[in-house]
Amino acid sequence: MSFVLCSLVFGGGVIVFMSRSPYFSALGLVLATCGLSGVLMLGGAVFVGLILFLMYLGGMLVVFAYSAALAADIYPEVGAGKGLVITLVGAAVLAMVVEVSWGVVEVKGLGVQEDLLGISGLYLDSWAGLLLGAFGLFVCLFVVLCLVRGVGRGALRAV
Amino acid sequence: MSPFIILVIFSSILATLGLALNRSHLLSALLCLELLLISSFAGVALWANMTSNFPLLPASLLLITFSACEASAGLGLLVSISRTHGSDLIRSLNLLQC
Repeated sequence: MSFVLCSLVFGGGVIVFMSRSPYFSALGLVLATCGLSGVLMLGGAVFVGLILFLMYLGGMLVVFAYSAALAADIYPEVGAGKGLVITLVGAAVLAMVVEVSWGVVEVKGLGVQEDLLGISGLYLDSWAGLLLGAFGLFVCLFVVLCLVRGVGRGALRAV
Repeated sequence: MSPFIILVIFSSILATLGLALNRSHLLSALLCLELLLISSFAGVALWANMTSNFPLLPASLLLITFSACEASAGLGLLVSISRTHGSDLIRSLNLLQC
């Protein structure tokens, strides 16, 4: 289990680090996000990992793939197989370090999830943070609309 | 202690090195920033779970909310740059005429 997670996170990071084309960087970001959400779920924060997997990976990475298709080269450079070797060796070393130092990590049964209780504090005590995040997203919507607006005046012109 | 905090450390180091060394496309820099923010989000959530400090978890949700704001503003800039300059190569960003 920990070998799969280590190879996902470390391999995704190595792909983001080594690839010269943004297509493969987006792919590596998808892999690393999958691995990190699995790490969160194994670490006990099941609801936070679910948020990262469903909301972030479902919403944000689609936008990243679309932007890569818009902006990147037509013929991307495919890197050599060095990255695969580095990924496998590094993931094996990391998984060995994890298993030797902390023992085999197992999936615990789902009982009462404390992180759900923690996140529900967003509606109780830290409601100001909730309003601040909503206001930030609302401002950001208008920022993006002003950046890419326009028939004749903005940056998006009919080519 | 959760054993996976070492994965968070490794992925944030890889993202920082990639942000410093990948300088051909603007989108590569944005993706490295995204990986850095996702790993810091996972680090905050794992640390809050490790120390049973559960009231810290809304802070991690605020962190990922503002990282989504940053990513959308960066991608809007990327779209406008690629429509005015034709590509998102960083070495062609200092052309004066659009």
